[in-house]
Amino acid sequence: MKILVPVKQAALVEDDFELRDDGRDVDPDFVDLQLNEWDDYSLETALQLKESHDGIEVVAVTVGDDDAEDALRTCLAKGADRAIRVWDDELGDADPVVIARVLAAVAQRETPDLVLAGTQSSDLGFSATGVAMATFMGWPHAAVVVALDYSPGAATATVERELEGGLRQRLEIDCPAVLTIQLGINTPRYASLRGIKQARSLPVEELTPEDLGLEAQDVGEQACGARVRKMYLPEKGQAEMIEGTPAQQAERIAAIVKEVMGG
Amino acid sequence: MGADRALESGKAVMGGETVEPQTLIGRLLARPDAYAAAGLLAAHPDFADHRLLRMALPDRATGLVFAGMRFSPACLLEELGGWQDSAVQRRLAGNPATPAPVIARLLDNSSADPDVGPRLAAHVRTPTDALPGLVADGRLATRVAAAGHPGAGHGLLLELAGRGEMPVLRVLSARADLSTALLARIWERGDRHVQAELLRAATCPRQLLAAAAHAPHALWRRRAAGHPALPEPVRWRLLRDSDARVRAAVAEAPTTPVELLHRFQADPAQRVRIALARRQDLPPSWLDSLARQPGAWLQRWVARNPCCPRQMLERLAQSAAAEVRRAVSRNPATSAFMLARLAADADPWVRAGAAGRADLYPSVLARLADDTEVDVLGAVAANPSTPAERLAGLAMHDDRDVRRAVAQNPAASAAVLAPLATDPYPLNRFVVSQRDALSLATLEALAGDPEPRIRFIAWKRLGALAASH
Repeated sequence: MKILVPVKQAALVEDDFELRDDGRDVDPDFVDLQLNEWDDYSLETALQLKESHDGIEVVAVTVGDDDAEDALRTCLAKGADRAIRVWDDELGDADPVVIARVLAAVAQRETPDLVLAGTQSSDLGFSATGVAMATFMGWPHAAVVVALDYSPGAATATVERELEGGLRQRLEIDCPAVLTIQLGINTPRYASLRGIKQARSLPVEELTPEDLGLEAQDVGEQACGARVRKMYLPEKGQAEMIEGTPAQQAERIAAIVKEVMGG
Repeated sequence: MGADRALESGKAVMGGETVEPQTLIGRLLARPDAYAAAGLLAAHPDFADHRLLRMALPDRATGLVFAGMRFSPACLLEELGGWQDSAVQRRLAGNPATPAPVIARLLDNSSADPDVGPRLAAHVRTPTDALPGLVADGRLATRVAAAGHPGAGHGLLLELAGRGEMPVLRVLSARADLSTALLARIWERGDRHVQAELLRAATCPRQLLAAAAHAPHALWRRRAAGHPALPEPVRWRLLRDSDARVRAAVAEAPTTPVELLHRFQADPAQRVRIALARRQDLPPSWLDSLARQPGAWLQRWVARNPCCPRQMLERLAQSAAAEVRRAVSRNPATSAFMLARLAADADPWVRAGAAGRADLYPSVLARLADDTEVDVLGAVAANPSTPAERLAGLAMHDDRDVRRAVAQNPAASAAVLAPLATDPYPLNRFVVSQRDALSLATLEALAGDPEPRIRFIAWKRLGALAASH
């Protein structure tokens, strides 16, 4: 059995950052890169399944440039069996749907029995990649999974999803499936120093979209449904602490409403 | 190298074997590492080497990191001070470790970047006479920063207070060096929150404190109630205040004579009775009265009071509330005999309280070391009386918090700490890296750690050892 774990090297922005000259992203000099927090939990879910059953292979995959390899090395250090990195400069401005198309092509090649992705990325937070990947593959999917009961090889899995208002939804899902994993489903492990050292010498398979049978029009800018036009800090709003008796406060609130509404 | 010989407090105890500065530099030149180079640069002036400086600052991203880090060595910050990079300069201006010559250079160019002025105005190494020039930039952020500068002159502070800007006044009101004149000016311009802050100042005039006792705002009365120079008639009035926090503040004030607090034993507000129970000058009869009142929260504070008589502690140790029994286990007046009984408590939180006591009977501590609860084991691991062989076992425990307690135990030897240098949890390795008692082999292991900050510390210590020879 095989579990595919798509991961991302997410950007952690420092407090006093600057934007790139084109104004569409943060200057990379002000960014610290780390394995996306949600992916740490999806990887741990896969590793726990692997440790509780024989014959499970965990394959980590990412779409990213050279810097993204560190995320894969982290996965290998924690216990992933293989790692795949897909990149081409054409993917530089890829939106989540294009990333999902590439990951789906990897899944078609790897034929996993389960895909465990993070619910979202900590930097861009689209929450779209895993779900879009399932759509490309024609697989059932469940998002924001906080509990998983699955026996490798079984035709179905039972998952619990986190909903608004503290609600949970338990559902049975046909497998193979794509599940996007929520924080808190487990306690991710730390890689041992030995694991980190060993991971440095393990191979990372490098592929291009072309290797996966994707055409330039599938991954280039024209394939993106969404394009970043600008990244910026919004103007700060003005807050006012309203003091006084309830009557005075009500009077001031009424004055503010009148001022804003132009009445 | 003498791998297992202990290094104590930075002194090399390596037999005849030494670590030479040139050897360390050579090792780094073979495998460049910015954080290791910064560590050596921080270790000793012997390492002020242009090759290490270049290695520590390989690119702008790393320069930005070091420019903002408090642990960055001075020579690195001086090097960064020569960079014509506004982001680097902003970080240097905000870094308390930035040396005075760099601050002086930044002051010369402070008008070029509006975000540098406020940072320099707050910097402890900015000369006092430079502050008036900085606040002339017309920015409120700079005036707020200057108001908090520890060296700001009295004239400047008076001028800032005179502007009546509330963010500036808030900072000024919290200064410990308020003169009477400055306090008066802030009082005149401040809102009631600023004025409440001034009621804590050592220089607050008695007439203001007296007026505060009649103030309609409870906030003023609360602040005044804790003032050490509170006039007696004012204290009498506040003892009967309708606001429980005011009464609690009076009860907590060490200058309030305990005889005045008799009526608080029966105060309707538990907050006030707790404030009383925390005083360490209470007569035993008062403590007894408080201990007999219902409410585990109040009893807990009595049980923690080191003045609590032994007999009362015996009684509280029988409490149905685990929090109260735990408080007894942590009271320094609790005897080893009583601790032995608490160490067998059904509640792990109580056993953990006993397990942290250095004065526990060795046999009891040994029994607790076989406990299965993580809280108990964590306390045993942190206990300086725990024998080394037990600590060595706990250093291999599955729970990272138990292992970290070993790493923090002041009695943990170099041999006990050694395996923790390869702990999977980075924070545990960081704690180990800061311990004095480490073998050279452990330091060498930490020097190759994946975490940059740990490598920095390890190389700094290796460099200090080498320089000491």
